[in-house]
Amino acid sequence: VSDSGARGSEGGGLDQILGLALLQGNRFIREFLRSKQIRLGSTKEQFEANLREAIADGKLGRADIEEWLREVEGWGNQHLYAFDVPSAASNRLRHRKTMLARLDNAGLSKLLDADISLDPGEELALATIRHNEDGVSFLWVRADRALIRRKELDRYEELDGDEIEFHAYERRWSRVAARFEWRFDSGLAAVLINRSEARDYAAQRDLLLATVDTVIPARRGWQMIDISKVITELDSRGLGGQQGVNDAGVRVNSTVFQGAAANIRFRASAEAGSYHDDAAVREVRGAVDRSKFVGGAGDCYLTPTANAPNNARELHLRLYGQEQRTLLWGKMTLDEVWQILLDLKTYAAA
Amino acid sequence: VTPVARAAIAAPADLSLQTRARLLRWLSLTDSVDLPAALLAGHLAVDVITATRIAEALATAGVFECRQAQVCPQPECQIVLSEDSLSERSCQTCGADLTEFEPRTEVRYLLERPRARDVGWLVAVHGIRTRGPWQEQLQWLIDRQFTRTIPFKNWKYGRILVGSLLLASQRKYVRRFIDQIRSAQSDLNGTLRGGPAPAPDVVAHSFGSWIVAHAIQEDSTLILGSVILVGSIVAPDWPWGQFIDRRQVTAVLNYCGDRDIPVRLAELFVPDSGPSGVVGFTSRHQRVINILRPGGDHSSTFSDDRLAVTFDTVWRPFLSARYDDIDTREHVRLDTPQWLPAPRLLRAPTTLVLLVGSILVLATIAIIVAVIARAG
Repeated sequence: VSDSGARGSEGGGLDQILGLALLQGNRFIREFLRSKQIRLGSTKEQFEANLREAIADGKLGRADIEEWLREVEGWGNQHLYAFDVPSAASNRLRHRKTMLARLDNAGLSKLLDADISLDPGEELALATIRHNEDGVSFLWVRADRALIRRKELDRYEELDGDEIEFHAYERRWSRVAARFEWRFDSGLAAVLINRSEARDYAAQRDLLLATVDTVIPARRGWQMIDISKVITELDSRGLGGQQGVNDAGVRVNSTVFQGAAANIRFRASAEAGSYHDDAAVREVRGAVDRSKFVGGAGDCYLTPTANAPNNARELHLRLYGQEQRTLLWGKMTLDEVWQILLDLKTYAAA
Repeated sequence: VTPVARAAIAAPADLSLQTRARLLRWLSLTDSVDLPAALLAGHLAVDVITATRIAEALATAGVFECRQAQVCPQPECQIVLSEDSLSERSCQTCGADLTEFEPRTEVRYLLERPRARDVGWLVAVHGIRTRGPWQEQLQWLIDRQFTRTIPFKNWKYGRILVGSLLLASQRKYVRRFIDQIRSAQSDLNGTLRGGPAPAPDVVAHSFGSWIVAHAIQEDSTLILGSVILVGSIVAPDWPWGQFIDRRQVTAVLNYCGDRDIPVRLAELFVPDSGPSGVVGFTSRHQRVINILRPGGDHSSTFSDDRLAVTFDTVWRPFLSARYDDIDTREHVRLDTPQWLPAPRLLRAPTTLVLLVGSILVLATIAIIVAVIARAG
């Protein structure tokens, strides 16, 4: 087992930054390398070698990586709870003075726009609160071990006559983030919790919100976005009209319709497919009266439409109706997460 | 050439007739395909070796694409993995670590097709001098063919004859048809897919086709889905293309028969009509389809032995917007129909006026002759 990244490494912070960079999704790393005209690669090892070579050649600096990390680190692979925020809620909090006074009252003013440590502690702690006229965000970090499988280092040993198999993982240290985000003009706020955090996401959410509520007491009255409604709405959009045309940018991979004592589950046989593409399954789906069921769960590939560029990519969401929770599968960017939030709000209101 | 037609040619020659028919029917009712040979075997009720032979033959002919897919190895998951899952080495469906558990490679056969159109609900309209027993037969057929309930409205306006000839009563039937559609659509709101009821698909026979065509013209807010006309007496130059372009109608299938005597004579008796059930519609539009069954007469389509076959090979592909799958072995597509209306003297209502006038003149002459004879 080896350690690399933020913990136990040297190199004046560069190794730490590189360690964090390599924990991002391969797609993003490849895009970053391409944008900097650096040789690509397909594995983390190749990415690391190419990044180090580019740094040595002076093609890439620490500032470039930090700037890129701000866009991609801590977005995606998260559980999301979204809130519908009344439009008047932000009126006073847009002002810096008001926010500062609130933070003072809560004893959190020293965290306003504080830098995030490259080497945070192992307990999740509020690291920074960022505020401007567009919104406010609270960011919690803690050091987390990311285990990268290194199959080539697996070995077998005979110990006291027993055959013992050792499976190798490389331990990399990352900054795990939980967030509370509120963009004033969107009428939306969200709590995002890293996927690898404790299983009891609702308890984790409440813990984070308890801190937020000391600064924004009105938050307690905000309604959560109805994910059950989103699940059934996405299914309808994916189903399309009578002509079978689905132009909503929605590909639904699975949906669980929850009845009173049993449920129906539709699922495509391929991740790249949709159960709506099967004529016989669609016929069965056509027999389901949506109004008699509640959206229990769903896997959906959504191409964001709200504020999204023309070349927006398909993003994978897993929705949990009863818990009003959405899992953002895979790494995403800040913009993509907000595009999803806006779309969820639209679907919940449909 | 459609996948079904290509499959008909490419399927192994030694297949039993039953398996061949099952394969073609399965393909015609399927949208996209993405399965291994073992699953195809289940669909076609054959053994895996035969299914593999069929799949390979169809892949060689370009009907299927043969692909090596990576499948999640977790027994509960078994989903075909996406590029994202493979790139991140983590199954995005079950979360399995794909470095720890190597994905399984599986040969799969793929066919990508646009989704077929779904039938929402249906309205059947009969012709004159009948109560349309075929409507019940068709309803029973639909009930058997679809695994879900297709609401089916049998609209019956009575066993009329003279009513079809007079302008005032024709208008009355058109109005009643529009009202019936609106009322049924309102009843269905919220029950089909939980949303607003879609436009109905229509099957109309003889004078029923005339009512449907004129209802569309009469009320520009009336919207119908796919319309099947059998033994149509609508004028062949009826502007269906315009109604389709302004989205009042989705598509029109004109099911013709070349031995349809009533259709040939319709022009003489029914105002604003014509023999479209024999010659076809002249409107050139991709979704105005004229199909002729050689030897077909005015009602032969509804015979016990024809209705199911016609539905299966022509009407169902049409309703599903699989226009290229419409059978052409027993049918002829009339692609460029030509038609000129008969001289005014030979068209209703002139013919009717002449006929009634002649009867009156003859009756008058008969009375005069009788009076003279009695006086003499």
